[in-house]
Amino acid sequence: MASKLMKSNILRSLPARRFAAQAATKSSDYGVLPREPLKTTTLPNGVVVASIENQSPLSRVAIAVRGGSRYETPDNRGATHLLRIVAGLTNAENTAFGLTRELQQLGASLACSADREVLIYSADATRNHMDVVMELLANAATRQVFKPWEITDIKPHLKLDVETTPAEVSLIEDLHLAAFRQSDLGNSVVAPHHLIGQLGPDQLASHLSRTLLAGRTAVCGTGIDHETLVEYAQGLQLPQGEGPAPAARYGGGELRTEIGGGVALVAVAAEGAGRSSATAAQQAVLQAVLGAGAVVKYGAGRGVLGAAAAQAGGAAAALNAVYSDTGLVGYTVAAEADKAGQVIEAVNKAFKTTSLTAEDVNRGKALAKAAVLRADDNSGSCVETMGVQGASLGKVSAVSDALAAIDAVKLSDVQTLHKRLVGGKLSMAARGNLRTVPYLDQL
Amino acid sequence: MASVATKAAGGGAMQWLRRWAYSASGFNKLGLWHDDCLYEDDEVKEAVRRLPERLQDDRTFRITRAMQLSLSHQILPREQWTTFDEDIRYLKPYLEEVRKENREKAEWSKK
Repeated sequence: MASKLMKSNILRSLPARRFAAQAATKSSDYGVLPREPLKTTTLPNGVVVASIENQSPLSRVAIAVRGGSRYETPDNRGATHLLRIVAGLTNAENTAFGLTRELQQLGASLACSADREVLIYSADATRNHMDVVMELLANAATRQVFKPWEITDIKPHLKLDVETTPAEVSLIEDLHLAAFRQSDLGNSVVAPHHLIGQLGPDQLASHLSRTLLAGRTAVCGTGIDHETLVEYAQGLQLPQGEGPAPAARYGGGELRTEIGGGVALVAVAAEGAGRSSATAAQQAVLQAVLGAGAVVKYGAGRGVLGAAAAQAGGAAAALNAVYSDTGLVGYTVAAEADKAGQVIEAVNKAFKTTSLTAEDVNRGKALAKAAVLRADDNSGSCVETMGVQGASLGKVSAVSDALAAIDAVKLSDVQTLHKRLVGGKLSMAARGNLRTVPYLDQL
Repeated sequence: MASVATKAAGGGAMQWLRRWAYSASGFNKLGLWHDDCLYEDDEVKEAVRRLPERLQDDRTFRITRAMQLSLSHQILPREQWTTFDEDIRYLKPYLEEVRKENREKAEWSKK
């Protein structure tokens, strides 16, 4: 509500010069905050705490829970989607209105994101307000109270979300359903349309009671002191328990959704390794070699697949979805409906028959390392990465470990991996105008 | 009417007085409960909206039956009158919550 008075330049410059002269002689009030590397602690109740002091003016804290959509049961399918939407509603300590106003008053933000493995509640604020915001975050993440009328009032939002799901997201969901069939990784992060009606407070509560457990939780932060974060994590009241174990079974198959339009989107993948496997780094390098999107805006895709697609008149990128026990490695293709068949043939040929050279692998390593460092540089994605690792694996590795693992990848490793992938059973998902898109067995 | 039907702790004499006042007030003869008789201002309307469906349906039935009795100048047979003990203040927790929320909003708009 501050109002700024317009001062003329002359009047403003005189006092500014005087203050500037004074400031030069005074030393900083707060001293220099030392930068600190990743520190992790595992509490006796199983909660993993990780923090990095990155000298950022913002503090970010996230509570990550291993309760993504793969751990939904047939009775509460779609619960994680609704949980994302109701994160800011009334909890045991704050009303929805009060929570929103408090956050606004402090200039903080609270968000909830989820993927197949992990549900993450995160908050950020300037450092001086972070203690209040962390308390609000703990209430929102661990002390939910689902008021039936609030859930009913917010259902239209869920419907809107489901119906405006972008085609690319639906494509990847279809790919997972085709690959993992009805087993846990086939569960979509988007609530199924026909099950929206049955989602209510009971379904949300049952999902949380199965998955919101101390042994499945990680508390991560950047721009925050490690001791503060450990104390905060100790104060969270989380029940003990094991919760559901990952049980993904790769089956393979295809899913075609004809919706017309001018574009065809296709995704093809084979089963890959999990996050903690020895081949995870090799997979990242392979993805970078094959081509993980464009660096230049409106530029053609790079990498082996990107080049092949661009020649045929479409676009392609390599896909590498990694989960704790398994993953998907393959490619996605987008092309105009008429050219889609040619583009997919070209990309598939490149995917299956490309021979990798040492130069390719070095390029892939450089790109993979850059991607890791870029994610670490952004404190939002840094906290998310720490949360995903902590919640799904139970430990958080420093960026230097990831870089070392990428450095250790050899040409022969990547070639073996590539041969194994193309020899395995493939899964395919296609969406859009599919009149020229081949079937999986025609590839 | 609010003070009449509350079951606050009191001596034997107070309890007797409450029971007598309840039967004298007459809404129980139409089969109504105390919370059915509340004047429907915005807070009560919101509290009723939040009631679980079963409680809302029961309330609607009782009110409709009472309106029918009233227009035909009848009352229920004695065995169907609401008793002091079966009259539960079902709307009270929801109404308290609505009032608390409105107070919070008023506090915030003062700032």
